[in-house]
Amino acid sequence: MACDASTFAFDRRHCVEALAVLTLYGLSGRVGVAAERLGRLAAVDWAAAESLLAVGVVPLAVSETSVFRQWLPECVLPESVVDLGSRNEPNLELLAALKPDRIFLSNWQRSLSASFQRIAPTEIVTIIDARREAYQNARMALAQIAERAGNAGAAEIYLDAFDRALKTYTRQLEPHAGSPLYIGVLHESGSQIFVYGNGSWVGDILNQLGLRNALKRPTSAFGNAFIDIAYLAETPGARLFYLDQGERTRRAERRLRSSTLWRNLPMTRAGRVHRIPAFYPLGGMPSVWRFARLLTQALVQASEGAHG
Amino acid sequence: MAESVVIPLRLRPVAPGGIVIALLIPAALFTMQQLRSVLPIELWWNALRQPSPTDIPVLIFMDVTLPRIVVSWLVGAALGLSGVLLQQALRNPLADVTTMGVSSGAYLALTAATLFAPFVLDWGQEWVALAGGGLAACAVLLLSLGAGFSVSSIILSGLSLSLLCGALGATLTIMNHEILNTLYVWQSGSLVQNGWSNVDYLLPRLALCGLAAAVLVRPLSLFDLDEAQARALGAPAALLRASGIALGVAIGAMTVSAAGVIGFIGLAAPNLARTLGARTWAQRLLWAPLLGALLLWLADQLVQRLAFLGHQFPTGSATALLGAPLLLWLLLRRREAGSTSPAMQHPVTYRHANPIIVLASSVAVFGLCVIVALAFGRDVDGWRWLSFESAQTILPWRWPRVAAAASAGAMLAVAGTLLQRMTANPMASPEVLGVSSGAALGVILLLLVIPDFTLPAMFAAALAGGIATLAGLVALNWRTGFSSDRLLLVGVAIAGISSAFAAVLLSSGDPRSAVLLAWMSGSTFRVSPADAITACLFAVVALCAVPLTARWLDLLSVGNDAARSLGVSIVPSRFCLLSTAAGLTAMATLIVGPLSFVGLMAPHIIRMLGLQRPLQQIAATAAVGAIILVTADWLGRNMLFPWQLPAGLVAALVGAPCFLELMRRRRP
Repeated sequence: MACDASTFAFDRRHCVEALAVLTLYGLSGRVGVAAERLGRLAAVDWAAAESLLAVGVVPLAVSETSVFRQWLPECVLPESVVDLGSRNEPNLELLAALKPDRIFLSNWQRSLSASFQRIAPTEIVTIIDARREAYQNARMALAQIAERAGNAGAAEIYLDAFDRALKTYTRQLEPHAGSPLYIGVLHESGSQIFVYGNGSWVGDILNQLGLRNALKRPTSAFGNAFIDIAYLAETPGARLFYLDQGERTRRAERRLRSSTLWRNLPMTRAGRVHRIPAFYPLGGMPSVWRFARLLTQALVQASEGAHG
Repeated sequence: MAESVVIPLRLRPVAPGGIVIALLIPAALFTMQQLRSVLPIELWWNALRQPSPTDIPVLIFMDVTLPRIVVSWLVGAALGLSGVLLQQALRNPLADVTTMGVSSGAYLALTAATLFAPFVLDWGQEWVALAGGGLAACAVLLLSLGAGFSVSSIILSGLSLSLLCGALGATLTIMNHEILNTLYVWQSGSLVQNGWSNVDYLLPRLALCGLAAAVLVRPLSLFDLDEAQARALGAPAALLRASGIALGVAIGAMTVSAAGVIGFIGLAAPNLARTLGARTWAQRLLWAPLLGALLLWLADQLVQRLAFLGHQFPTGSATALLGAPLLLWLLLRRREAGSTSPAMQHPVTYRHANPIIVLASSVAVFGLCVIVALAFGRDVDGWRWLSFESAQTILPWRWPRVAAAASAGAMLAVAGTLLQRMTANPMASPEVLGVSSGAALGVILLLLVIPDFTLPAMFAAALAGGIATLAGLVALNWRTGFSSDRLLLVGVAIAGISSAFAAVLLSSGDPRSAVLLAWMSGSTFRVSPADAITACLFAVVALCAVPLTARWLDLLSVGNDAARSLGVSIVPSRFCLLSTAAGLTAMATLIVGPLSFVGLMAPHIIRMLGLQRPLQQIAATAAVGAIILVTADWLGRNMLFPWQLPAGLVAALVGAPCFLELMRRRRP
């Protein structure tokens, strides 16, 4: 099993670049003004929270701040941000006492919007729905949030920077153009795997990068499929990238190592199985960027390793 | 010691052979079809003789498809064996690893280990499961020791303990819901295999347990007789029992560790064997594992033919879905008279000298609880009483939850009292009757059909589910006049269907599953002021109306014959009481979810406090039910601020141990 070295340095550099763009932008004064004017924004969903941070606005309150910091390490969430508790049941008494001016929630939290509207006007941020590509949704969500935060320009700058980065990644991945990939999370039973496919932006980004999603099975409403390990043999020549979720992933790896089937899968035999750092697959543009970056780096490293 | 529970059966001289063939043929056909789709039939022999490690279809055939079939036989046989052992040793036709809390104990142990001590799983997941299941079984037996291991005390303890384990497990998953998928896949029982390790694990252990069971054939057959007779014959009853139970529990925990929770096979297989004419325990010991293996094999083959929600339907949920109607069918085939077995009569233990004092103090405590719950709590700066200004911001969010918790608690408590008095059965409660599960099922089905759910739609679905359950209960029990044990069995079957559906949804990786989980654990988070007012009105109207049934309650709890001789027409009065209880339960479930531990707990507390007359009992129980849920809601809102735990869950976490302790103390 190929094990990538930590991709942290790489991440850090790119993140610093992205932040530099925004800081320059902020220094021109417009973000600061906007933040003052519309400052008290709360985000009960992480996609909205990370998109706000991406356009240079620090939200007043976010749900599950500790897990957010752990899963979205590049989006620096200041200590001043209030923790609202669970994403499913954010603390309404606390939110009401903070008196926000606007509340961002996700489309899967729509049933809560009546309650939130009693506190402040709400805005629904949609990433995954059946109507449009999740990737396009993530872009539109960023633009929508930037506009609400009073500086549509920040979203444009961010998306431009992302598009340039995406072009670079695509160029780097040219040798792999058209090759099939599975992106998933190993189940610790060692018999099954969650694979991201149609309906999630993971699949969309694979296409954007000139790659191909190897998953042929139907996906759930949230863009993933829970499949048997054996199905990974369905697409010949495919690579597997699985998310490193710590202890659980270690346990799954140990179980897989003792499996004849796993050891004899074409991808395992050919060393086309790679571990990548975890990302948040239901997130907004910053998560999309993180995934594209992690995947490119892992794939480039893998092919260098193969040649070296 | 245990009362004899005579299950009158119209035994027909039909060998189980017929049904064995009826199960065997489709299972075998499906299997053939599946194997041929993996690998052409002419290559099978080659694959078996010299499997090529690089040929993928051969690998899938050898390492995925075949082991899964063998594991379905082994797990099914193990569950059948475990069920028949437990049922014989406890003389309890309802006993099985799920009704005795063994499965949920094992599952809770695995969940806790996953979260807190993952390294333990590496050196022995099966020991973790065995420890959890074994502890649960010991607890259940200790709790029902005083009642002489009677049918009702064991099932009551088992179900309460299952509730407690389920609540603890749910708390852990709510606090860590990023790994919820992993945990639920386990809970819903999967037979997916990757290699032969599970076969290697199960086969020798099952063979050993089978041998041990064979040794017990003759001694345990004494339990076919009346217990008194058995003891007169000089059998060391306690020791035999203990060994039978230990064996059953060990086998059950083994299956949980290998395949997760697979419900109903252990309950269905022995009952099926019995119904099909396996009269003696020795016959059942032979047929139950065989039927269990066939049932699970067929279920697993059917499951693999259904793609569901874009992912595979978990086998454990499928067995519950297939097993529950089977159990209903078995119940319907039994044409016994509407007799209440002696085990079902609860003793009148203690009567308080001055019931009015008890009543008044419950109401006073209730008032105090409401005031504290409304005015005292935590915010960003810590614990504080509400000030006049903060009240205006905070109270609109707080009062609907307090009001809803109070009304739901009162309604559930009254429903529990009605059910317990009506059936003269201490284990009756909205939870056991299956009405809360029916309401939950309505909501779950709605979630499967509609992507975005709104509160009114949820309400409509829950109400429809509750009403459908009621209609089913009435239709299925009409001819037998609501005989007590049958009513409960039907309820258990419905609860099984509901939790199977829930498990399917919860294992699907759907983010809404966390919302469903929160609702099912009894959260008042989503209660709007309008909902709260509706609930209050409903509770008040019901509390005023229920006293009209006081005469029935008084007389029915004496027994059908006595009541009939005093001029109560049994079927209409029972029907009316059942409808009232179901209506109350459905309404309360809409507010605080199906985890209605309060309906079981509050009536017992009041009876232990010594209130026996129906009117006093109902009024005081309503107050106690409301106290429990209001306190639970307050604790849930404040303990882990800004996180909130659902009120129903806190009620179960705090209430179940108290209740279990009270039960242990209450010895005759």
